[in-house]
Amino acid sequence: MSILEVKNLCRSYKGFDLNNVSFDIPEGTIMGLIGENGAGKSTIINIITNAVHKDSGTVKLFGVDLENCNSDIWNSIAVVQADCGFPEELTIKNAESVLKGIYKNWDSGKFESYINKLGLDFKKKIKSLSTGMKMKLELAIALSHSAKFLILDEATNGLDFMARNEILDILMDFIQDESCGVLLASHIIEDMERICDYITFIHNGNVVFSENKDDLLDKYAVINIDENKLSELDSKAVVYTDKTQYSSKALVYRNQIPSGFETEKTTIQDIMYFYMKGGK
Amino acid sequence: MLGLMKKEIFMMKNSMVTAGIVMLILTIAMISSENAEIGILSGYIVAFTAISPITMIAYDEKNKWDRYSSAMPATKRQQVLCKYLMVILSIVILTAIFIALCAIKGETLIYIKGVIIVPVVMAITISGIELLMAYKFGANKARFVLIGIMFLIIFGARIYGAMDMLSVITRNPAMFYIGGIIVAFAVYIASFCLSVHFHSNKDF
Repeated sequence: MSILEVKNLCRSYKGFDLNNVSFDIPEGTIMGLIGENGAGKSTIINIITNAVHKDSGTVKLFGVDLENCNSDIWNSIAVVQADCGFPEELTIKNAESVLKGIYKNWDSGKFESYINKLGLDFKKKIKSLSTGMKMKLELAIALSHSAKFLILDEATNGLDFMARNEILDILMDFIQDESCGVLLASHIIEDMERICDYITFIHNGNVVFSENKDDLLDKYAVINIDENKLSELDSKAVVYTDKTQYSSKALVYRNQIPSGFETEKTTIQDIMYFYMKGGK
Repeated sequence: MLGLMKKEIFMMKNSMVTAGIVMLILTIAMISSENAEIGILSGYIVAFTAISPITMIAYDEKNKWDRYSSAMPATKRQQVLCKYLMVILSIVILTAIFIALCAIKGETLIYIKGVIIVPVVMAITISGIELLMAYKFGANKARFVLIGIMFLIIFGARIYGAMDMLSVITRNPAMFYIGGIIVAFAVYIASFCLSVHFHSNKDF
């Protein structure tokens, strides 16, 4: 069963359209949602989390339509967002007291162990925490009510290398339970490449691809060649090219490149760059 | 639901403690002055509860709580209901403090009843309108509505005086008070239903 199924999701704003977005998150996997600023990642997440209404399409959480999700399903979902969270006027202790009354599976022992593990202090007011500390708190909250589906929107942005790694390690632990799933939207492609099983690339409100990460990296390659040699290649093999005055760099389908051409290992960042650049 | 109420209480705790202390100080000042009319303090209940709805919604807007809580196991109706219950709770607490202070000063039950019902009715009605405006237009715009309501109250009080309404009330006070309470709660309930509708259809 899929943790999340998004099908033909549409939403129009003045000057921006989210067009027929579709992707699935199978159980036990991490899906990375990538795209430039304003591509539509947060709109997708806000629709999934019921904060924004969709115009059309379907969203299913654990096989149930979003409109019919009951409190049991919302108890199984946790959201960590960079720009919103728990009221900052509260202390961590106050926040726990509130959450105990909201989530039926709230586990105080687990929360306390995360708070200690992440170096937080129960007596501190949320507004006194740094960005990294706030993110850690949101993550501790998300992981303390037996959620099966974790949604993180730009949760590692603004964090230093150590804090990011700490959060990614926690996510890797979380996903060890094969019935769980994670949707991670971020600008930091290295993080995605490290932990995601699937990648969905959103560009101008459209899904460019939604595929298994390893398949993507196998499917594409980058070649550095001059323009004359580039013309020797079958045009179907070339996805996009990036021409400069002295050389050309191209994203190509690895299996369509004849022997003799030296290919480089590609990265998700390369693939994203070529698709966004767009020149064939 | 209990958790959401706790959140509102934590958020409003400081404002409520401050309101209680100010009320206490004013009362002490009035008790020590022989000619002072303690009934004036009931107006404080109206002032505090008129500000509370905007304060609560403004806190939520600042923290983007509505977006954060959208994925929580609490319906939009429950989230709105918490705010409405919180305002009623504030009115009950302040009214209880006021009655206790009147009793300490040795005021009669008839006097207390006479000075408390109208402010409570006003507090319920105004906060109902305030909450509705805040849910529809946001806390910032609701502030302007509050100023407008205050103007209407002053203007209404002048007409009230000019029309010698006091004699109407004194002729049939029970009817006036019961009618007022019914109207206040009707406004409050209608406001709640509309706020749920606006909140459920809003994007955060």
